[in-house]
Amino acid sequence: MPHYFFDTRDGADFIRDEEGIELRGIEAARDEATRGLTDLAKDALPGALRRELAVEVRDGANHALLRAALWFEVAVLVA
Amino acid sequence: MLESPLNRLVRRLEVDSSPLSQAEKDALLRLPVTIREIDADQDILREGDRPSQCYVILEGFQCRYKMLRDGERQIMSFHIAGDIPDLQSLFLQVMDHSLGTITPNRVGFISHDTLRELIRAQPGIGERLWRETLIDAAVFREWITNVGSRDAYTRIGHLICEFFVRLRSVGLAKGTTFNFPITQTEIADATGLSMVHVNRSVQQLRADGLIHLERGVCTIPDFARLKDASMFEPGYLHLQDSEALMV
Repeated sequence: MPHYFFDTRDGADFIRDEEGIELRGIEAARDEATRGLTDLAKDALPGALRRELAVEVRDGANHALLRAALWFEVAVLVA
Repeated sequence: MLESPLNRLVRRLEVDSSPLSQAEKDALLRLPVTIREIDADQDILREGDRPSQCYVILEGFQCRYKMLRDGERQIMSFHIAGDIPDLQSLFLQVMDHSLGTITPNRVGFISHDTLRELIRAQPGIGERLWRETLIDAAVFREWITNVGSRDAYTRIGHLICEFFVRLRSVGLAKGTTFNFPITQTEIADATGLSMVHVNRSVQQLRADGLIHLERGVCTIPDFARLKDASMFEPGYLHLQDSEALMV
């Protein structure tokens, strides 16, 4: 099974995945990235007004394969 | 007598209570035990099994888990040497979850009949075994709180604190260094987090200098800091002297 690495971004804060995981293929990697993104959002968004989160998937040879991103914004409509 | 495999169990039963009497100790160490070596990642008991014996972990790490229909696994606890993870099978005939090894294990099986005789002959041991199952329940309560209410960083930090304090209580840590053979997949299954978030949070704990984790060995450079960052209060482990164990 191929090895995938999942780097994560929270604004300017980038964390590189040094371990990676084995998954059946790119579809499974997409699912994992999506699960990861919703999970990150759950901890990162409360209290925030603007946030950009992303999960970037690489293969073992360091090729970028996929990017799942979430743009969050709260607009306060009354003073 | 000293090199009985059940010395581990004696140690465990004394860790969260007063020392056993000589008669109790002798009775325990005399028990007939069947020793088995089991590879890593093997089930010892599966949901639906009807065990006729209990086992003590003599060496190695295990987890308690349930498999969901969609193939998801929820790990509910980790177990270490000295534990009897299937003690409830003495009274609850059908396993409602599974137990499996994480690393290679050495376990000692004791038949239910033998254990029942022991409890009748030495009621003090019966009380201690009862206490063990109550502490298991206290740990489950803490895990529910952990999974339900703490963020990923705190949740994983908490799990590492618990692992350390439990190992240390039975003499299986060297200072603040201990075996932590739990993979990120297993951490994810135990904390209800995605592997991506586990990976990120572990890296953050590392970057913040709270843990050193390499090839299954963990060192906590400053336990007070990790404890604080993880909201870890060891009271729920009901160790005899929690504070004395706090490094």
